[in-house]
Amino acid sequence: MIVTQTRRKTVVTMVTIEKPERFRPIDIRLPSNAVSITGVLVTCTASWSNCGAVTLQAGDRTDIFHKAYIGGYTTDISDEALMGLNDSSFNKPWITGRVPELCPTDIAGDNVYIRAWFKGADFQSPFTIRIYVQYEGAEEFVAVEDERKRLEEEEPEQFIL
Amino acid sequence: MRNVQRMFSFLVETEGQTVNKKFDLDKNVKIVHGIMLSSNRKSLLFHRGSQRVEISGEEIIPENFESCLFMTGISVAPNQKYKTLGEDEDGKQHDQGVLAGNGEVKIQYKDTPSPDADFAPYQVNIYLQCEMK
Repeated sequence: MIVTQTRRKTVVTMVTIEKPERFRPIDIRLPSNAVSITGVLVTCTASWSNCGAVTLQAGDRTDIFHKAYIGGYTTDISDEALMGLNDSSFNKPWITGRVPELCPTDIAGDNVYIRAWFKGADFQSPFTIRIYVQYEGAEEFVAVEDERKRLEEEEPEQFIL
Repeated sequence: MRNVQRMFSFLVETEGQTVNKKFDLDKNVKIVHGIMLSSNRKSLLFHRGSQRVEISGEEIIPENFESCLFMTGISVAPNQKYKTLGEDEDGKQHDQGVLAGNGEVKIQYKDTPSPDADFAPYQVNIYLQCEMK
């Protein structure tokens, strides 16, 4: 019996936005053995909200399978801050544990090239966008296992010559 | 078989520094099930950190992968803090783990300036959830 396995890997694409931009195409190249896209995440280093949106299109450039609105992490205003109390900083992601995570997708087909579109909104200073695309590769050969397992009961107990 | 946690630490002393570190797991560690990152200055790790991780020569986390994706918080239950590695037979993300192989863990950590966190020297802690035989 041939034993195979599939592995998931992630490709990280970094783009720096240095000036206000309305549209920017971003090409993402996946390895040729990518069978399907299993997760997507878009993050940015900006400190303000509403930086824009990133839209991802599948390989045939017709299907939009993910749209992410990007903005800073620290723009959430706590209830304490709204009431004028000292912010106790309990809304920070490293306290709440609400850190970014991959959004699960299942996009099969020709996904060697992914076209992402960045649509800009507010711009205050240069920032970096990171696009994480997790893909599942083709089945990989692992080993050949003997189907017939040797059973002790089937072995002769003794030989009489 | 029993599960153990292993912790490795290093310092980031200058702004924009890339730290290359190599650690060795115990010889009887067979599988690495999960990873978690923490720091004595969590805001710096969250906003400035990215890393590449290799276990036994195999790239587990690619370059430029943000550290914040492997962080957790005090509001998260202890048993849910680790980011699991590997997939099960159905290809679903599951606690299958990755083989420890020769037990060599290579980390390339990169500090990147961020408007949200001004630099100060900080320590990065990497926790691995391992299975021993």
